[in-house]
Amino acid sequence: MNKGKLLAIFIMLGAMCPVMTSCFDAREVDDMGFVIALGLDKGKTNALRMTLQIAKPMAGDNGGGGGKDDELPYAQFSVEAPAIYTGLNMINTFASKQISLTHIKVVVFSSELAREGLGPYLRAMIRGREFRLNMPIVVARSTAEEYLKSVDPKLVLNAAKFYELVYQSYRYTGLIPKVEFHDFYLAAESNCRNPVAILGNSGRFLTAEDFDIDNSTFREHGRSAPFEGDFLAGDIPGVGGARAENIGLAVFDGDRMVGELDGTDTIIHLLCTGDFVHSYWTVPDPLSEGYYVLIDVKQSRKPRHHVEIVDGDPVIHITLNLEGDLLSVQSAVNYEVGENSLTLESSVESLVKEQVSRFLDKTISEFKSDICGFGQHARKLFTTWAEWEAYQWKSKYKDATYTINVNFKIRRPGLILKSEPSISSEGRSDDR
Amino acid sequence: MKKKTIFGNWEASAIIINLICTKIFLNFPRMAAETGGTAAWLFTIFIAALAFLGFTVIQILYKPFEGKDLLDIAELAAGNPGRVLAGLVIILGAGWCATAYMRVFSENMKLISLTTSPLSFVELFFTACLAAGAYLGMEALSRLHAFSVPFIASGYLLIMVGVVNYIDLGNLLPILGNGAKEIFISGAPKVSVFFEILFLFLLPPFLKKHDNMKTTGYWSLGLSAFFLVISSLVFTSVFPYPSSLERIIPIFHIARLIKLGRFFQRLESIFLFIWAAAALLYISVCFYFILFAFQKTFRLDYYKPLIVPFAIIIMSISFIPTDFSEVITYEVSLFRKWSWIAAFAMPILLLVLARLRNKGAVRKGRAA
Repeated sequence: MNKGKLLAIFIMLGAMCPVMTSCFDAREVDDMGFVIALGLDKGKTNALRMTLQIAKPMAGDNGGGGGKDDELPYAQFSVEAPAIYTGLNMINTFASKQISLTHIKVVVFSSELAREGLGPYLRAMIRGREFRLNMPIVVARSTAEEYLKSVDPKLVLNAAKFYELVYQSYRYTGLIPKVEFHDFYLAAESNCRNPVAILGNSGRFLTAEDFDIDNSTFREHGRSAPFEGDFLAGDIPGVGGARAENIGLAVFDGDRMVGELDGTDTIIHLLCTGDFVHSYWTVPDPLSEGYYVLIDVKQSRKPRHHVEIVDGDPVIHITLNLEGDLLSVQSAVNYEVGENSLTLESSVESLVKEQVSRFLDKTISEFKSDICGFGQHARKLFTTWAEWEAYQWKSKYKDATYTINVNFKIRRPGLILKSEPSISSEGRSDDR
Repeated sequence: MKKKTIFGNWEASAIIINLICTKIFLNFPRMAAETGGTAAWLFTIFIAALAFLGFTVIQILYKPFEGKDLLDIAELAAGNPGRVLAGLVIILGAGWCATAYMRVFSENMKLISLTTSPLSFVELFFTACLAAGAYLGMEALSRLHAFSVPFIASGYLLIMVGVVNYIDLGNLLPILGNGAKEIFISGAPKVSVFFEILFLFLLPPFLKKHDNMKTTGYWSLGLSAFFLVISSLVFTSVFPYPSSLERIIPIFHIARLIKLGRFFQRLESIFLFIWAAAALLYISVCFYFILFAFQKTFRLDYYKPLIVPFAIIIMSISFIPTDFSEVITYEVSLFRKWSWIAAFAMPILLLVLARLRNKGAVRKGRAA
C-alpha cells in the first residue's frame, strides 16, 4: 500500500471519530420520561398547578391498565410552579427520568383557568418545539388534576392510544368538537372566529344506584326525557371504563372561556362547521306519539354559508345537507317509502332547524362568540385586509341575524325494507 | 491540458432552482405574507412576472456574447475597473448569501433539532461541506444538484400535499390582502427574491451556447416561481394572516401538522432531511461562486488555495450578527429589498455598455 493511500485511510478514520461519538444532543429513549397528558389548574401556592401523566414504557406490554394506581400504564405527578417550563424543571428534580413533551397527547385546562384566559399558556406552547400542534385541548369543568386522575383506560393497554382514540369519538358520536391545538390557537388570534375546546370532567356517579338526571339539559331542549346529547361532561348517568367523561364544548371569546354547550349543541356546532361525520340520532316519531325513530345521520355534503351585510349588520344564511339510514323504528310505522318517508324527513328537518336556531341564538345573544367561523365567509365581501379589520366582525357578531335551510333525505332503510307490527293475543301492536 | 467543464441545461437549472427556492425553507412564505397579507400568492406571482421580464431583457441583450460570463462582459463594457467592480458586487452578493444562510440554517437547526449543540459545532458541518464542494469543483456540484434537486422537490411537494386537509382557501380572502399599492408598488423591489439568477450569468462558459442559457433561465425561473407560489399559497391558506407572521420556519410548521392516521406522523423528519440537503447545496454553490468570481476578478491561476482561508472567513463572519433576528432583519429588509440592482440592473447596464462599445469598435474597424 503506498503512502498516499495510507494517509487517506488515516484521514478518513480521523474524520469518522467525531461521528462515532454521536452528537451533543444524543439522548437515550430509555432515559426519558415521556409526558402523555398535561393538566393545568390554578395553584394554591403559586400561579399554576401542573399535573403530568408520564408513560411507563413497559406498562403497555405486560398488561398494565388495571384498576389500582400501581397498575396504571402511567405515573401522575403534580407540582405548583409559576409557569409551564419552570414546573417541568421542578418535576425533573424528583422524577427519575428527564421529562420530555415530544409525545404529549392532550392538554387539559381547568375551567377556572380558562375563564381567566389561556393566552400566556398558549403562547408558551406555540413557541416550544416539543408541543405537538395536533394535540387536543380539553377544558375540565372541575380541575384538570381530578380529570386526569379519573382517566383509567379499561379497553386499551396503552394510555397514549387511549387519548388518541377517545378524542376522535367526534367522528362517530358528534358529542365532542373537533379540536386541535393548532386550530384553537389560530382561532384565539383570529378576527373572524373564536375557538372551542372539548368539555371534560370526571363522572359524578360511582354506582348505578346514584344515577340522576338533575343536571341534564333536556328541559332546555323542550323534551320530557334526556336524549343522548342532553348532558354536560360529568353528568352522564353511566359507570364503567374511565370516569373521565368528554361531552359538550367550552365556548371561548378570544382566549377566554365564556360558556359551555351540551352534547346536542356540539352536534349542531359540528354540522355548522362541516366537521360532522356521522352519529345516531333519536327523533320523536312524527306519526306515533311516545315512540322514537333512530337514524344514523351523515352530512351528504359540506354546509353552505353565505354572509351578507345589511345596514352594517351581518346576515348569515346556512344550508345544511344531511342524509340518514334508518336504524330502528319503534312504532313499526313504514317510514321506508312513500308519504311516511317524506313526513319523517320534514320532521327531522324542522327538528334540526329548531336546534340550529337555539344554538345560534345562544352563540349570538348569550356568548357573543362566532364559534362556527361565519366571519371567514364574510371576508370575501371586503377587498383589502384594512377594510376587513375596520369592520370588526367579532364585535358585530352579536347583531347578526340568520336564515337556516335544512335538507334531509332518508337514504337506506337498514336491513329491513318494511316494518311489520308484532302480533299478540290482544291483536296487532299498531291496532292496540 | 486543462479539462474544460461543460454541463447540460438540467444541471444548470437544478443549481439555479435550488439557489432561488432554498429560501422557501427559510423565510420566504412569511416574507410574502408580510408584504401581501392574505394575497401573498398574488405578490409571489407578481415578483415572478417581474423576474421573467428582467431575465427576458437580459437574455435578449446577451445574444452577441455567447459563452461569456458577466465578468467578461463587464471587462468588455468598462475594462479592468468594470470587471473588478462587477466581481466585487458578485463576491459581496454571494458572500452575503453564504454567510447569512450559514448562520440562519445553523440557528434553525439548533432551534428544532440539535438544541444543545453549540452553534460553532453545527456550523462546522456546513463549513466542511462547502470546502469539500469547492474543492471538487463545479462539475461535481452540478452533477450533485442534478441528482439531489428532484429528491428535494419531491419531499417538498410531499409536505405540501400532506397538509392538504388543513388548507382553507377562505384564508386567502380578502383577495387583495394588504392592498394593491403594497403589493404592486412597495412589493416590487422584493423581486430581489430572485437575486440568485445573477449566478446564471456566471454559467455561460459552462453552458457554451446562448440558447442553453436562455432555456436554463426560463426553466429555472418557471419552476422556481411554481415552487414559490405553492409555498406562499399553502402557507397562507394553512396559517391565516396575521398569525402567519409569527412563524419562524414556515415549512417546518406546515410539516409538523401532517398527521395521516396514527401511523404517518412527524413527517417533519422529511423536512429536516430535504432542508439540510438544500441548505448544504446552496451554501456550497454560493461559496464556489465567491471563489470563482475572486479568481476571475483578480486573474488568479488557481482558486483551490483560497478554499480554506475563505471558508474560515465565511464561518467567522457568520458569527458577527449578535442574534438570529438581526440576520433575518438584514436579509429581509436590506438584502431582499435592494439586491435586484445587482441581479437585474447591473447586468442590463453592463450588457448595454458592452453592446455600445462593441458597435463603436465595429464602426471604428469599418472606418479604418
